[in-house]
Amino acid sequence: MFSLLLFQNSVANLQTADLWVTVVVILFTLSLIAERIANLIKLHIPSLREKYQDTTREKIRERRVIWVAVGCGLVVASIAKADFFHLVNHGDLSETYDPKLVPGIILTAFFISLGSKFWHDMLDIVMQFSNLKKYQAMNQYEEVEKTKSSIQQSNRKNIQDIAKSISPRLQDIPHFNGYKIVSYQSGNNAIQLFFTQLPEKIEEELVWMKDKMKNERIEIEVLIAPKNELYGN
Amino acid sequence: MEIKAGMKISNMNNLRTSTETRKYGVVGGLLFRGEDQFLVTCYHCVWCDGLSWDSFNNEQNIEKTKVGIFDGDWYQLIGHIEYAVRDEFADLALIKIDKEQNVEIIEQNLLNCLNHAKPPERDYSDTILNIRGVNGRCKFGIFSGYQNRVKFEYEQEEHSFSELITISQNGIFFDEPFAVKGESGSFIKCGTDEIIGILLGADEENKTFFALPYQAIKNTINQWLNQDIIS
Repeated sequence: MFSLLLFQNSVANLQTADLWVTVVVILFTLSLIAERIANLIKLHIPSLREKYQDTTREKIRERRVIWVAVGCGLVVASIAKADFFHLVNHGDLSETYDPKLVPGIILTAFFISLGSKFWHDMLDIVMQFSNLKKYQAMNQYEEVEKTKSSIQQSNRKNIQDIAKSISPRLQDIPHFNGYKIVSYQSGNNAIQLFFTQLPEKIEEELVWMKDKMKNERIEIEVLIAPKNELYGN
Repeated sequence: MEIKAGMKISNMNNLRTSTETRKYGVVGGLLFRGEDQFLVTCYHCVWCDGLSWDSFNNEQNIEKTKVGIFDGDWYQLIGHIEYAVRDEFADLALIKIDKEQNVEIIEQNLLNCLNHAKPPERDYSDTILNIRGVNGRCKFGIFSGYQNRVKFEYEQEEHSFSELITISQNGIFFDEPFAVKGESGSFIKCGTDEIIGILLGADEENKTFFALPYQAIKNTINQWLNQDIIS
């Protein structure tokens, strides 16, 4: 039970990791566009393009470049309706314009003005985290499956012992033609009894068998297999 | 004559008017011990009147143990039954090839060689199995577990096997039956080419096919040959 909860938890983590990958991919794409536009503007304005020897003037130029980047980010985020809060909650862009989107769009503009390199590195980190989560989830899934399978196998062993113990009596039932232990995907096990034709007192035998295995969750299925034939022609 | 898996094999004493009525099975595969070469098949495929089902003795019944293989025109004598058994675990015969009979055994052609068989190491649930049936044709079925205390009729006498592999029809991909009458003795292999059993019979109404499990074959043959010839 504990491992099942752990597994559900890891699936939730996995979904969160996937959401972050989507968010970062969108921001990376928008930052690429904004950066391209900012570069174009920079190339056409000499005061932004050319570096100054004087530190004070250079700092002013850098500040202006940042504001151009933020401005471009704002334009791109507005056109794409990239509200940061919507993005984080839903993993996609808003469909309609709404004044409520403005704070989110401004926030997105600041984020995408950080540059495509930043978001590329961020994408690497998030992808690694996501893969790690996937790996952990897979491990936990395998563990749960192993536990399920070992429980089923131990149940199966019990049934085999029960079947062996009732086998001599089964063989005395008229028209008996073998038994088979089957495990269903639901986790239940069943004993299939084969008869060439239905014996008269089968109900009594079934009651006796049920009584023999009252502590186990085992179904008994009665099947008709009229005749087995050797395949030497 | 060159022997291949899937060729018809029969007792030469089953003298009938035509080959159509002759009791036959197929060659499952090869087993060798030193210079001796054996073909493996089911006992009921090479049985004839006068041979005991329960205690086979080839010295007392030397004439009744001669076995032939159908080469396309007629049955050609190739050897005799050296060991045979029908008990609650197996229905098996080893046919020793007589060197005088000019029989060519090319191991590569007789793909199923028990000496190189690997024991099944895992649960075969839902594994697709294949069989090299009459004339070497490959057909497919699905492993569906083991059935215990399965009864068969041997010449008006009932005999039950402790445990047999059950195979269901692979109806999704193939319409033709996994096996047909006359294919007893065929080796059954899984996808990884491991031999997991030998075809014995079927419940035709439910389209379930039965095979002797590898473990029973291994135990029986190793007991006969007094050594662990099969791993």
